Amino acid sequence: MASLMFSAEGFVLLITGLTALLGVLVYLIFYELFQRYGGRPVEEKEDELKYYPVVSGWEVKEVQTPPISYVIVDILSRAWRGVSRTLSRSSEAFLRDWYVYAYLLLVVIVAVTLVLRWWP
Amino acid sequence: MNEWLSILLQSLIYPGLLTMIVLVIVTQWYYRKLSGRIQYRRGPTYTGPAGVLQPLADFLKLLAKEDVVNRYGLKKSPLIIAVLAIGALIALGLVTPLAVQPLWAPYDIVVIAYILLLAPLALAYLALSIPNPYSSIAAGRYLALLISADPIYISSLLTPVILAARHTLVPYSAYLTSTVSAGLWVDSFLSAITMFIAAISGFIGMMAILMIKPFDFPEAESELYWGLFTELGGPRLAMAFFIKFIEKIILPLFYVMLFLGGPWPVNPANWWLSAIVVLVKYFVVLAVIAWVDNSMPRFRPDQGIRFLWKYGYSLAFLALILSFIA
Repeated sequence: MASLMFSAEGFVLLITGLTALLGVLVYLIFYELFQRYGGRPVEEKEDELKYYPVVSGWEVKEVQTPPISYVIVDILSRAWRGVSRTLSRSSEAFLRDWYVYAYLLLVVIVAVTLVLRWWP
Repeated sequence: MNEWLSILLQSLIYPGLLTMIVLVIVTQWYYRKLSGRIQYRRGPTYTGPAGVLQPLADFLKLLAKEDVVNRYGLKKSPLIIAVLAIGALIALGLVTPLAVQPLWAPYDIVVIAYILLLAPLALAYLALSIPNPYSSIAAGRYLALLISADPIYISSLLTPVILAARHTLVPYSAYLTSTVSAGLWVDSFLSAITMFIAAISGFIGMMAILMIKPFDFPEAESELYWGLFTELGGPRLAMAFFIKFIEKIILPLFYVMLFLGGPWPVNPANWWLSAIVVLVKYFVVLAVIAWVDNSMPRFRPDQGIRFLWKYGYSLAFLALILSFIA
């Protein structure tokens, strides 16, 4: 059997359409159908703890999670210790310098001048 | 009209939804049996002949549970993202030689690369949808892994596609490249070297995306309870497993298509013979993955990331540069 050729735009539309169609089918079959006709309650009686995270028998009222970006940066900086140390030192030194703030102020003044056409 | 009917039937039956469900069951059984043998266990034996229906029983058990989300969790959006990722992965089956009439377009590899990224992002979103310190750490680890592994896998896949476009004027299409990819190994010495380097980096990238040991630190059983899956249960866990298992079919399939000659040595026009050859090669790749998974210890996250950047990136980009020279 021959393969079916599409234009690049047609291919994007087709794959997106198929993704949506198959996604809806998977949702209807594997979630709605099973939840409606097969889903069994975890407990016979509803209790409040069911909807709280529980650790060691105690409900957790405030869940604390570490920021994802912190975890990613931490892993990358551990992977490249030398590079991250150099980068953090140099960037800290650069940011501490008052020249940077003066430079940023100058950039803002130039930008505002250009936008508002403040020239003769 | 016939073309659209063919696409619909392919997406629903073969190699679409129905076939993918069967393939997930068979591949999971195969993987668990192999893992069992490597670890001196018997693997699944109880449900169905030789335990082949055990993955289906596990899946149905999870689906039939009540969907409980604690009061801090997101209710509907994780499910929507998860089913879209599953739909996208199943749709990608239609661009492989398994399809009766494979779909292709010029530059389709770009669309495929984007769609392949949906599944890992859906897994991360599912993990983050119910707040828990362990799943948050795992999601952070997973995203760090993806930042490092995905460019390696995608640029490795691009290498044979670029080589095929330059040598055989195939217009940057994954399926058409699979019909000529065997020839790229013997086209010239430089082409063979390029394919070899890209095949190594592609395998490393694929293992990392699939969280195969030594890159399983986002899952990190016993270290982070169950990593990404810690807070998931019932149908949400079933969806997460479904994504993970279909990923384990689609990623190696693209590897087989682009690096292991696709349907070679049979004629790609003969779809059922092509499909059999591709499936046999796929099961060999899966056996290698299972062997590596059961033989390696786990990297620390920083070790894994460093390994990927040091070796994976350098090999993948070297292959990419060579593909323009070869």
